[in-house]
Amino acid sequence: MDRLKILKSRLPDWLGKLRAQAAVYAPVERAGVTCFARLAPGDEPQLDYGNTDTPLKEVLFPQTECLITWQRTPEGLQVQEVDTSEPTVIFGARPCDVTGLRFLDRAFRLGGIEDPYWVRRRDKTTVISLVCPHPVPGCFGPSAGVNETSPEGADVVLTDIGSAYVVEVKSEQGQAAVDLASDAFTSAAEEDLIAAREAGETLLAELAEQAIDLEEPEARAKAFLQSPAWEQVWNRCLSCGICAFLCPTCHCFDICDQSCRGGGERIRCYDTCSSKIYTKQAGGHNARPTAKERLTQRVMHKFSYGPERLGVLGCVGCGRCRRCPVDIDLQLELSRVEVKEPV
Amino acid sequence: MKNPYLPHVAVIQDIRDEGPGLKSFDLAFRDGSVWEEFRPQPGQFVELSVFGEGEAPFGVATGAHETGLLRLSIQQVGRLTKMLHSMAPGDEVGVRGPFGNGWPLEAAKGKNLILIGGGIGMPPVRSALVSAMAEKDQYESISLFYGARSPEHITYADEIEQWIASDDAKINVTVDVGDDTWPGHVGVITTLLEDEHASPANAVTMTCGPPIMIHFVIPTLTKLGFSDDQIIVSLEARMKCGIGKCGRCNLGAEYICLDGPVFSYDHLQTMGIRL
Ligand SMILES: Cc1cc2nc3c(=O)[nH]c(=O)nc-3n(C[C@H](O)[C@H](O)[C@H](O)COP(=O)(O)OP(=O)(O)OC[C@H]3O[C@@H](n4cnc5c(N)ncnc54)[C@H](O)[C@@H]3O)c2cc1C
Ligand code: SF4
Ligand code: SF4
Ligand code: FES
Repeated sequence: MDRLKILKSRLPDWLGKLRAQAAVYAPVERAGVTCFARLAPGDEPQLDYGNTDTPLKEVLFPQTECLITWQRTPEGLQVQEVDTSEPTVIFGARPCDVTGLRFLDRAFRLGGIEDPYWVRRRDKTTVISLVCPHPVPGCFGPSAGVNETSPEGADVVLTDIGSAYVVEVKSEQGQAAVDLASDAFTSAAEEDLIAAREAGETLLAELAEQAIDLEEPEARAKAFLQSPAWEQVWNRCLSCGICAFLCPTCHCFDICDQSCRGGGERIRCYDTCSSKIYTKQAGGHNARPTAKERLTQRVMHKFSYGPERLGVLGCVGCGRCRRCPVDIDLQLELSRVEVKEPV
Repeated sequence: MKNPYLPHVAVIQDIRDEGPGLKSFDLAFRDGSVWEEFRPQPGQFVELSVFGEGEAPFGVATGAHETGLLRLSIQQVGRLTKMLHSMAPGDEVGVRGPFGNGWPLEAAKGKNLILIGGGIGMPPVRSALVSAMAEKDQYESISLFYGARSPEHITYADEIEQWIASDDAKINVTVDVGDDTWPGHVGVITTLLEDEHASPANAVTMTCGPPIMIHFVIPTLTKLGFSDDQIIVSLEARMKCGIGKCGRCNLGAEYICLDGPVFSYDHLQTMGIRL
């Protein structure tokens, strides 16, 4: 396919056309936090960002959402499902977060029963990814298998070459998004393509300096859980769940009811396997009573159970979980263990 | 798109006391046609809604041949179950499901079926028992080993009398602590299995009970000569979604709500799970 480019000055035209067709979510700063939020008319996305503080998953799997509502009526209970899905464009997502959608996509679709709230939103969403100009500190995407210059799951990929973006269209959906504003795009010249390739090569070279060894993830995870370092790690964990809430692949949730006069809503909200009460059963039995069992679950789900069930690693190397308040850096710890050759 | 989170409205038809803090609820879907697609299999569970309080998973006590009424037997332990225990016939609740894989009864045909239940694990065991008894010619034999805390804690006491009288299955009941009125076996369920010489010959066992019971029953069965693939257990876990999405019941690469709750012990061994 012919490679396109779009001048940065024409971006507002494209965004305007997209917004006329769909809800456009892009990185913005809200109260000092960068996150993906819906652009209102006149809103400018903030595209010179490192990565958003909160992960992209929020757009398709919100922190809280209403699943069903009920009303008590003279004819009895009326229960209704809620569907807020709508045509959506995600604009400017980083390759790691886009790759994170792949894990969620499989988690919410596979196993015989689909999650309709995820599926309806995801199927109506076009993803326009923006290659990082420079590595975000702490990011190790390539070590976690992320294609940093053309991520899987993106419909369009933009690479910054200064005054313009080189545009890779990866799907029919992506083509449709580009066609909406075809006059904003021009054919990319040979030198533009070279500039884009060089930007990618520079990025990868810089990222290589942040690489960590996550080869043989399952054996590595098991070796880590047997290593002396492990004791130091789980003993520090506060079970706060920050690592899960910020992670672009974590999908644990809780479901609870909120009543108001004569009716109510059933809400789901993020939960975390780090929580002390997450697996506490009626009667007091708890399958994961201490931070040791809970953090074991986190390590194993990301590096063994998830890959075994879904076929992809549960970590995309965004580095957000390094914001742990007690400086637990699981991936760095994992990269340090010696993985013995299987005998 | 079919929404697995959307409950069907059901109406409480009947409530019976089954022992201290335990009640059985018979539910009928308000829209009677729901039953045809619902049809729970023995060993499956449902997510029950008490609107305003939330949802909780409960094992289905109804047998495969008993159509129209969904029976749940529910111990009052917390908020939702307390609310439920205060409800009356005619009140409406929500039901979604049925979820989980259920007991492998088909594969047990032609064999000596040994059902082992304890405490609040009885509803799915009842379901398996009455379903098997309804087709008793298809099994070599059917037996039940049931352990309750005390005589007053025996669930389905009236039915147990009928089962004993019917001769369709061999019914063995024990209580942890007896009283003056109790003529039967006293001791935990493992002693009952040993005293009755439960035999592995052409047999399959299916066990449901609290984790502590399963923990002790498995080594007892092993000691009696049962191989790991003759030991089928139904596991419990805290659950929310019931469909393998919320993550709560994750066990290795599987989900208890979706791939279980019924597992064979040899499969659990290959997963490295200790019970
Ligand atoms: C597959 C399956 C089948 C089941 N079948 C049956 C059945 O047939 N019959 C039956 O009676 N039960 C059954 N159960 C158990 C049943 O689901 C629970 O008893 C029920 O969920 C309790 O709900 P509740 O709201 O009344 O209790 P909750 O109010 O949730 O609380 C009960 C207990 O949970 C713990 N807990 C909850 N929240 C907190 C918190 N915030 N902090 C600390 N601890 C907390 C406490 O230990 C508390 O005592 C089954 C469970 C599963 C998974
Ligand atoms: S952020 Fe750190 S302290 Fe909090 S749950 Fe995760 S590992 Fe534990
Ligand atoms: S585990 Fe940490 S580094 Fe990996 S994707 Fe999740 S938040 Fe990012
Ligand atoms: S109950 Fe949600 S994954 Fe099993």
